[in-house]
Amino acid sequence: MGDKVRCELCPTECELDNYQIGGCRTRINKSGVLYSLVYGKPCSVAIDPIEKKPFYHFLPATAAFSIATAGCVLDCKFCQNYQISQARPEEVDHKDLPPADVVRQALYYGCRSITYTYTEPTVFYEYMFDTAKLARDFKLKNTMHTCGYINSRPLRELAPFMDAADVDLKAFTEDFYSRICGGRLRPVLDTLVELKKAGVWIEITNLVIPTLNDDIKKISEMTAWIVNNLGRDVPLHFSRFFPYYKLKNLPPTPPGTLSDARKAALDSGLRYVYIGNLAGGGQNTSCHKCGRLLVERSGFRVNQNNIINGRCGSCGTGIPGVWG
Amino acid sequence: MTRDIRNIRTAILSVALSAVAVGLLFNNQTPVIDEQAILRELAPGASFTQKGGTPPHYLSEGLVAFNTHDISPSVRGYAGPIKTLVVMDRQGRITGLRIIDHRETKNYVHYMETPEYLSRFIGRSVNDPLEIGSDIDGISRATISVQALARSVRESSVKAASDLLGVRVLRAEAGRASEHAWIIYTAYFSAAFFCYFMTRHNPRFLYTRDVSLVLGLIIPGIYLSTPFSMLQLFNMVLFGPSNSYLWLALVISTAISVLLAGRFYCGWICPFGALSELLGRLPVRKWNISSGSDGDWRRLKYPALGISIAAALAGRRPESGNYETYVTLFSLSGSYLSWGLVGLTLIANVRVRRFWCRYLCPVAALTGLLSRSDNRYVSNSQCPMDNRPGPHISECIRCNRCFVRTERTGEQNG
Amino acid sequence: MGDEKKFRALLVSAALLIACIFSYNIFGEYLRADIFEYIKRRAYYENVLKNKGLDLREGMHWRKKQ
Repeated sequence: MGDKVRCELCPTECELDNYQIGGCRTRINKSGVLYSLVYGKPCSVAIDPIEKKPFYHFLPATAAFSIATAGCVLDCKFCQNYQISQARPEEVDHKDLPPADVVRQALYYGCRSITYTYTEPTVFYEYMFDTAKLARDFKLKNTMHTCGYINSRPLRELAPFMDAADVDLKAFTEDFYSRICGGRLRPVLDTLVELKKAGVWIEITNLVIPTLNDDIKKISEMTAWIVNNLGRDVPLHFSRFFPYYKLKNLPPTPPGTLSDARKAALDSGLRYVYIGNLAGGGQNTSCHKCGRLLVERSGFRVNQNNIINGRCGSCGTGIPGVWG
Repeated sequence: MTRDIRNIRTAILSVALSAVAVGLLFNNQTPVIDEQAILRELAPGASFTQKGGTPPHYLSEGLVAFNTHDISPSVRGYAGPIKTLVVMDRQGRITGLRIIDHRETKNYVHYMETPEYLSRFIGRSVNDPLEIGSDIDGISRATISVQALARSVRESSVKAASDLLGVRVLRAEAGRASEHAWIIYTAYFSAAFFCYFMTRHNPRFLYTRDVSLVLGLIIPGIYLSTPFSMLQLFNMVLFGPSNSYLWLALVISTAISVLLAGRFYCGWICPFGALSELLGRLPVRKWNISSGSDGDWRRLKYPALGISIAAALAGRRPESGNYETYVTLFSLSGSYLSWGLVGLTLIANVRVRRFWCRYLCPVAALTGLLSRSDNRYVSNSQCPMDNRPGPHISECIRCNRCFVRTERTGEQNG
Repeated sequence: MGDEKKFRALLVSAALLIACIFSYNIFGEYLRADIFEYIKRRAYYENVLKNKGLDLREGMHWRKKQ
């Protein structure tokens, strides 16, 4: 009945029987050959401000051409995009948009970058890979918003074409990753280190969920790990949780928890810690040296930007990030 | 006829013996997984006996251990059973468990196998829900697997606790076989047996058999859900006798009745036989079957019995040899195929009296082969088995309608 | 059809059913996992997936390369 195929893309490493579809719903073994079902078939295409990804230290106030296909390597109970991430590609409407068309449209709409986002870009690896390669030739940057659940070999091959990655570090316990997301923490940490090594600009997002991962001690452990392994310059976004998908029973994160988390992260030595999904403080960038306000944001809008050629407009200190 | 039966008896016996031999030689290798070694880790200091009994289990001072798959083999996860070794104390409280074998997708269930996750079962008793989402956490992307794990642990623990430890289990799955079940069964069986001898004495009491049939349907059938079946014998041969009183009552009473009264069980106790006979009494014309072909087809039950024995004993797996309709019907569980057979054999009674009993039943075959001959059962037109005149004793279910009383009792009873 | 014939048909079908039950008991675990699942997957591919306008693009492998 045909050969088994092991998919080597993500740490799940599904072993697929003939005509079996992987856990990500996007890869199938047909007669001993592994195929992607979503190449050139995005279900979501949009132009977003880059701040929405969120990237705060990457080409601020530019437009990012954003694409996603159906499918995901995890099944997080709090997923905000579960209608597409947990859907089969054949269940959602999709467009025909081969890599060349993605690049063409991104250029036409004046985007500076292409972002692979919304669901988990790992599941459309080949599509992302070809698009990113082509985009390079047209001076477009490539960014992705990923959960980091990808094997190191595919990641190493992709990294040279990726300019920035926003990695969801969803919690700092294996227990959380296993029970709530259906994955493991270790590979995500490996991905972060690998990206850093490859010189990809990293920002980290952590969704703080009441009772599940809001333990300040664990958060401090996480930020200490970031400082030790990735450095103090990695921006960290604490994001506010809203009841969704399978976690409707929990309340939204209290603003106090988020500011406590931010304080703990700053105490660990991180220089750029933000609060997302919450109107109010914690969205602006200030120089880590002189403390002057550099980028003022409200929502996804940038009101002022005092970074000049990657340096603080007032003291001249180099600000980590990709600015031009 | 008698010689035929003797040959069949020899054949069945040799099938059984060679099947046991084959089973011991080829299928009895100590499993790749050394359960004893795992038990030593789960309960350090305790020394467990060899696996045995019904349901199969290990015993130690104050502890009992079992493989969930031995007790609840039908619970399946995503890709087959999740075999788990469970250690339980005498109060029915789980003190340790480990998953020893499964075929689920490794990277989905990695967390399910960790001591961290399994510790959620420890300390729970058979009277706790032991249910995903209730007292046991779910795991994202492994829902089916953890549900199967919880269900197999729950069902096998409940069975082990009630059958092995006599713990009173307050949940539906514990079955209705309460601790008094064996008393109820023994009382019913003895009463029926008494009535059997009464009717041999005096045909006035023939109506008691109808009462017994109805009670058979109700007591061992619906209420206890455990009619006598080959499974009980297979279990005994493979894993030794069970120490459940109900099991003892079933096996011993049937054995005694076979010695004293041949297929008395079939004609008086068996709930499926009762159902078949009652259906056969519906006023519908019966098919006209020539005695030649009837006699030939009645032999069909012997090869069926032989295959059943061979499959169960050679494979050392009782369920492999099970095709018994009463097991499916009264336990309310079985494959579509088994249910198909139940339906077919029940409907057939409308046109052919006691269809299942005459042609297919393995217990009928076995008890028939072991019946001592008695030429006072001559058969007549009222025979519930439609036996021809002067049948071989292996086809007689001792309804006593045709029993020739004069030879023994003379005329004194009238 | 005569009684005798119907009777024979009934018994033969019962015997066949029993034969099926035996094979299912013994091989069912493998059958269910292999053949039935394969048929289900294949049918899903042929009847659903194929008609949804999704192309097949060969996926990448990494172990082979190293």
